Amino acid sequence: MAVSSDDDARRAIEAVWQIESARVIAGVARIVRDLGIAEELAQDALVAALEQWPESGVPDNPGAWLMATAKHRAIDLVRRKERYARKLEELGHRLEVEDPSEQDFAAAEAAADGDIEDDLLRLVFTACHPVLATEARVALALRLLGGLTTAEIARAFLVAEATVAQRIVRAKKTLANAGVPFEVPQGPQRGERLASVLEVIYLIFNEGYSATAGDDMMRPALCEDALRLGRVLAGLMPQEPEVHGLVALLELQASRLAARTGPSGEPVLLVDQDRRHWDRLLIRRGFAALARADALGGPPGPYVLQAAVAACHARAFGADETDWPRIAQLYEALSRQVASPVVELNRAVAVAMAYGPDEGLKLVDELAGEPALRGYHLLPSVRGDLLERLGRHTEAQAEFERAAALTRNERERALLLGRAERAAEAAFGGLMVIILVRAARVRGEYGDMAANNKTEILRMHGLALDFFSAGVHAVRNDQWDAPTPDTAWSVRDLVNHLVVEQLWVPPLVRDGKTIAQVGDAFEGDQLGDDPVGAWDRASEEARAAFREAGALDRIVHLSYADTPGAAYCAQMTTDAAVHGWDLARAIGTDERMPDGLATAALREVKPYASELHKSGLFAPPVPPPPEADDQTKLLCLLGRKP
Amino acid sequence: MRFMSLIRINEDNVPEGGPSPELMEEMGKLIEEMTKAGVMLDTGGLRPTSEGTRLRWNHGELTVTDGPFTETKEFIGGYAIVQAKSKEEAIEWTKRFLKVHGDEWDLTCELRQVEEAEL
Repeated sequence: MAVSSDDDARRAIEAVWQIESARVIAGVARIVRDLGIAEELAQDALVAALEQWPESGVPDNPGAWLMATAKHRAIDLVRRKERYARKLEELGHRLEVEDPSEQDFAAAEAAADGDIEDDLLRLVFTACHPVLATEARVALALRLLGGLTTAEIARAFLVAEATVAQRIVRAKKTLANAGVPFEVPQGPQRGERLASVLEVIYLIFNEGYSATAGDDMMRPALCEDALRLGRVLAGLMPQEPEVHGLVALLELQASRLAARTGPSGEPVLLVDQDRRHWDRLLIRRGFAALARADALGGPPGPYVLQAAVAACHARAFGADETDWPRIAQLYEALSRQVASPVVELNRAVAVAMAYGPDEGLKLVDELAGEPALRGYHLLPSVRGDLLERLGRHTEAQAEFERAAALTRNERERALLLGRAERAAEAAFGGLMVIILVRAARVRGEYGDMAANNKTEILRMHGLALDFFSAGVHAVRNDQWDAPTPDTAWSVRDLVNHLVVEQLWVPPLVRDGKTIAQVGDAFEGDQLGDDPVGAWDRASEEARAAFREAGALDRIVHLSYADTPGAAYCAQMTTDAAVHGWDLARAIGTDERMPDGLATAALREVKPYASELHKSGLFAPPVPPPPEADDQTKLLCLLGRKP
Repeated sequence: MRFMSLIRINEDNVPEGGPSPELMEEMGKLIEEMTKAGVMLDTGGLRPTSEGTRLRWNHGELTVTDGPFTETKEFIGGYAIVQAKSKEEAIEWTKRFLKVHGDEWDLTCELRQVEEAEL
């Protein structure tokens, strides 16, 4: 079909344009000395190609054709300007500037055959000139050097196309007004100007690597664009170690792209990544680029140092094989050069890995008042991580929640909230209790069971413990690692969870202690080699504590509220009943709760069931089948699928 | 996106004496250009099949055969891995690679996109 072959031709021409546009614009810019005009002339050449090539066929050397056409037009333009100036003179006028057109023309002739690589380098430095705002530099670089359309840039940065178009127009105007020469800077300026170029490329990469806002963790096409710009620059400036350092850093970071997100798009931390998914080709290229930088000698600059850190990770097959002392050292060298609190934060992480979380935490705490880090979600996130590893779960939870409130990335927020919940879970053995209490506090009421007489509460509590106990004693040796319904827990995890919940009862009820006073006493595995014995001991202690005289009337100090002992007991009853069903379902024993227990638990939990789901820790209620009994209704209400 | 170009040659069509020094020179220039454009990630030529070995797994039976492999005239002479913005761009570069060869050559590049994780 003619349409499709026209379409094919157009796409083929666009591919040539993708390859050649930067060179053509650069070549023309040297003649006309204005980026805006240069781009227009280059575009004219593209239009000419789109008109002629479908008829005449693509020329043998399409790049040379485009370049010649554009340069021809450029020289034409300069000549016209020159003739115009002469006319003005004949009419007795004089231009304000001393005969600039004559100069332009001479330059044009001389420039027409200039070295294209020099031209490209001039284009790089001009498009990334520090006189431009960062976002203008980024847009201009992608447009003029990366060959992206305005629409593509707009999509990548989640802004309107008109905004990008305007940004580019203004940037060109700014360059013209500031009289920025189309030159590669020399002398003392050069270092600063190069830093500006490297920054633009790094920003483009980072925008793709960890999109600062929105749902997607990354927009990998931007990473590829930045990598390509970096490699082009390395070809143009092979003697600059920092350029190779930047390329090495980008290659190595890009090598982890596939491992950085989990199956549902959630971010995976570097230490948790499956390193078999790291891209070996990019790692090899990263190493090669770093070796080129090293071979050039001299003290390593910031990009070389960061690349060296990335190389430490790339060399190790796991977090435990990583040379953390070396990474800490590299960050120290880096912070001597760039003195940034973010670098210090990274150093703290490495120090924690090398010398223990408490050493890292000392460094992090020094950064606490740092104004530059206010609002930076990684500070509380790192602090939370270190606190968690030190077993200070309550503080860790608060830090993760703070971090979650600060991040702009939805996926990351979910990850941080998940960590906060797990920290809370670790902090308060009785997760369910806390949630129930929180819910009760929100509603200003307690469950129905607590209103019953004390004998009835204790009877139900005993039945619930017996029900769970029956399950624990029935677990076969090969079932401890079996999964449980609707959670990531194994049978062993579930039993441990219940044991921990029982262990909390005596200190809270009998001794009147607060959660904080008990602290991390029941942290981690409590089952040891004898899970059944652990359960028997813990449940008997809990049973006895609730049955002491006055226990149900006492006020229990839970972290979120002071709660009557009777309400706490009622909640623990519901908890053991429902988890007893989880256990029975997991190991295939009798799922029937003892008579009356389900009815009592259902009455207990109903008033705040909707709060449980809203807390995010419980699956949404499942609609029970018609004429379901109380046990089914209870399980459905708590998100189980009986 | 990333593409692999498998360069396939029919051994009956290889010009006398193999690649000329001029061809090697032009090829070197093109590879340099592609590398500097940030496109060429990796490339290499392959030693003759007479030095190669085929290992086959056939439903539990492992056989090892040394080259040359007389039953096939066509062999893979080299490969290139490129990064491109589009398939069209990869095609354009591949055309340039082919055109570097003189009229005496008859060879085929099979361009295949490399599977990459859906991000």
